[in-house]
Amino acid sequence: MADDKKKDIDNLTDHNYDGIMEYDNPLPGWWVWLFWGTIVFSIIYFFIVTMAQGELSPHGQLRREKAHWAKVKLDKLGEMEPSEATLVRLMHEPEMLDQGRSLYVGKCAVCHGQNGEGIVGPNMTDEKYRNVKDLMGIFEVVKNGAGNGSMPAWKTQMMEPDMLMVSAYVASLRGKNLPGKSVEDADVDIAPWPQPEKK
Amino acid sequence: MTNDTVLGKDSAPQVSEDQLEHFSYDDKIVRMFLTAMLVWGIVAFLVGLIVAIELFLPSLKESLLNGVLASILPAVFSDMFVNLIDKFFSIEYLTFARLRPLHTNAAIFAFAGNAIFAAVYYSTQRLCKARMWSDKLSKMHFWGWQLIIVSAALTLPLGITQSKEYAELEWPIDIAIAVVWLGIFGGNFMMTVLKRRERHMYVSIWFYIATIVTVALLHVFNNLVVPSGFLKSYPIYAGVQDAFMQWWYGHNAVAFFLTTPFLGLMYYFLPKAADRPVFSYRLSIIHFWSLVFIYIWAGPHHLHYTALPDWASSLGMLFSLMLWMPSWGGMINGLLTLRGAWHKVLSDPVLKFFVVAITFYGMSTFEGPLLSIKSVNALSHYTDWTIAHVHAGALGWNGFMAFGMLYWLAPRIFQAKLWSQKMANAHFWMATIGILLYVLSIYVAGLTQGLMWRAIDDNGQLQYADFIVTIDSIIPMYYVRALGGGLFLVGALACAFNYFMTWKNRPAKYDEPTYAAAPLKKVYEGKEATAEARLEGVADMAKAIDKFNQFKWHRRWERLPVRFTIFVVISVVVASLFEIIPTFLIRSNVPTIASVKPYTPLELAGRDVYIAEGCYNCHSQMIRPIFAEELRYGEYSKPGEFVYDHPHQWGSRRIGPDLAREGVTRPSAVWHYRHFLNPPDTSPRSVMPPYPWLFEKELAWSSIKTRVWAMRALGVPYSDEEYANARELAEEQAKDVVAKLVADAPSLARKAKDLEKTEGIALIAYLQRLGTDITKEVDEDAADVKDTANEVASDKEAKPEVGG
Repeated sequence: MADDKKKDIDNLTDHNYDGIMEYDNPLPGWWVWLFWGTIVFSIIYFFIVTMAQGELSPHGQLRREKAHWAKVKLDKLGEMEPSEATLVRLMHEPEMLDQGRSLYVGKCAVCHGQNGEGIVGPNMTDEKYRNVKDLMGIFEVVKNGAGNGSMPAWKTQMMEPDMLMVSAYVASLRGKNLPGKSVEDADVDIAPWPQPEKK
Repeated sequence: MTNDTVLGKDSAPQVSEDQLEHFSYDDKIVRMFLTAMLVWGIVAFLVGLIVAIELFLPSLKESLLNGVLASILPAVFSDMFVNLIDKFFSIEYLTFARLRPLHTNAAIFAFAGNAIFAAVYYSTQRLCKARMWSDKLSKMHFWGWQLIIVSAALTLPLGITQSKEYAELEWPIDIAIAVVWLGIFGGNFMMTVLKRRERHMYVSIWFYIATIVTVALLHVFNNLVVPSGFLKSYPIYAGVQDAFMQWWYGHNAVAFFLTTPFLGLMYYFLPKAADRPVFSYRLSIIHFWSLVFIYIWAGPHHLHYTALPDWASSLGMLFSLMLWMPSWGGMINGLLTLRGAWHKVLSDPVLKFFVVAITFYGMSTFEGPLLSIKSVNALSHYTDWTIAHVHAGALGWNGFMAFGMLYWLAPRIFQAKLWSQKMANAHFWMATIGILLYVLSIYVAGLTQGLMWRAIDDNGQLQYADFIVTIDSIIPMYYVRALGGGLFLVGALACAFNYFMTWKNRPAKYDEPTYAAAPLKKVYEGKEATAEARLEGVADMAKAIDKFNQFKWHRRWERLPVRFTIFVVISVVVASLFEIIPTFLIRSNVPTIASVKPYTPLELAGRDVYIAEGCYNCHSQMIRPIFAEELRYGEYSKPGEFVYDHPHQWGSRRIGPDLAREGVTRPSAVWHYRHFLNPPDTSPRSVMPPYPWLFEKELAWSSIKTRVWAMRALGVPYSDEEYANARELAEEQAKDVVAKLVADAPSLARKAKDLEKTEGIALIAYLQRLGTDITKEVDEDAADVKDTANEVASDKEAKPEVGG
């Protein structure tokens, strides 16, 4: 203790500002090393990231992630032709409908209601349709929009398999007749959806 | 001082009586600033508490109507509360989005600002052995600054804002700030330093100098605008560049308004309160200069994963990492100064506040670099994690430092014993528990929401596709946050009472002691002019290092305030220019997209409604190139999409969903109409307040042409026709929007004529435009430009082009 005190006193500079004194203590070693460490790391990091030409950038990462999920989808779903047959198949696979439902909640529910009952967009649980004449009509509306721009075209924002799954989910809502937005004059009856071929 | 005689180290030459100058210190100005600090602090905390409560009011209302509270409370009470909530939400000046800037500005510029001034005026006079150069300027500074604060408190709730965070105030107020800050405060301060009677400038003064010059630079260059009216302007920067300048400013406002002056404050008041020498003079030098030089570069870390070029983002991250130790230098020097005084910390509330403050400083300056790591930021950005971080800094570091200083100063400036030591201790514990409740709950909220946003299931689909689910899950944390904030406020009120009672015990007339000191001679005659090599038999290099390590060169700088100031300016300007020049001059940083066109006159006016309502406080317009983000919001945002955005509206927190592709994914006018009138109508459990006045207030039609004029002055390519017919074009488009609205909702037909004139229709027109341009077809001859532009935008923009 006494030694410490003496060392401290020897260390004191002759600075005095309004009674405030200053020691001449050296910089803590760990502080100096960590400081140099961050500097060296930064130089190496910048060099590597620059050399990688964007591969290590967020965009590179996004490209890889997109490729990964595209492959997962392909493996799980197989090639999906945008066709009536595909939609019918999806409509009868509960797992696909689950995915369609999750997409629906994210993209469609704000206008068509949590369960398809309609808010500003039409009720999709009744039997009447305005812009849709057959099953593929739903996919067309999802893809290209409708209602003079009120219904957006999702083709620029969603992948095709996703648009197919959400279309299948929407089609599956038909006939549930949930109370919500009521039928309007422009809405008409259309033929029932085709059934899957019996195996 | 006793220490001097004991150690016999006092080298001040003896001077005869007649050479001495006699002077006293102006403590009245300290009393004024300290009182203002306390008053505005309480205002800032109160507004903070209000905005915190606003975030769960809709959920509270729901609970009163149909939830738990409805079953507990008698109907009379629940009806009453629901009515109160509705009444509150019907006042357009009190929305979260208008009050939040008031809260941040009050906390930073009114509370912390007045704390800085109190500290500077008290310590500078004593460190320079000189009264402030001009009492008149000091007073003008005080009243000028309070006037600026009052004008902020009036304009922000009125929706008069530049929409740049912490730089919201419009141009006339900005000019006042520049004059009061640099001209009056800076001038008075520098003259005092020049007329000092203490040869060397103490480390606190270095930090004050850095604060004054850098804040002036940041303020001026971030607020360069073209006015389009007395209280409306457009920044000269657009999109990526505007965002870059904003966060160069925003980050360094944290650095040079909330860090450097408070370090200066710490270096004076901590050794005073502890009565211990500062731990290391050398550390002061190294951490001061490294902090001043490195801080400036770190701004881009606020823009990770945005349309900012990747090299800038990388620099922002790396300089933030390098900033870790320079920041901790201040913490070490603070905490180690307390060696041998820790027993005092147990009993002295001043030191208690200081110790917690410095601890929070250390935690925040560790967390800062952590959050600036890109992959961490991908999770934290736009969430409450950032909010927790800034409150650990602002309440923990700045708040505790300011209150510690207040308890040390109050008995001295009022020349009366602190009224109640017990109450000060109670304040300390309320503030400590309050801030812990606040930050811990908001950390949990931030992490929870961040993880929910990015959660993807086995099929590559979002696990929580419905945005509101991610809000639902953090609402309980919002209640805890409000509790913590409330406790902090109660603590401050206790402090105010204690302060008031201490003031009441002041003497009838303050004692104003006179001091004597010799004026500085023109030439320095001290003994430490140059360093001598202390080593023998070593290489010249080693001798040079030894000389450097004696820091005599810096001792010299401390005698030369003008040169010192110039060095500070050089270090911050050089660091700034290294990033600013490439951002502005290299074209590939912002590849143009041919299909991106200026907003129509109506959309421009609608955008100004968006800005005035402060929508950017809750909604971002920046989809990051992250897989989950593209799933949720659509194609990620490209730099070229923002070239006409004066100012940018990227936002910093998503309390509501991103709106960058709003026009693509929600084009329906009737949806927006119903949503603005009553958000839960289309979006159940939404926490957004209703905006009925949007469809009652008439748009400022007569100023549309001036707005287009200002945009043209900034180089936005509006044709002569568009400019000449701006108003007519806007009126036509408003008719179109309403026609569509009526087509979807025929019941609105009778109101159509009135609706056409309203702000809401302009706002809808703007929202319908958002993010749509890149999906549009371009003219044939421009098509190839678009292709290359898109390619560049998606791949090559990341490539650094600096120094090559």
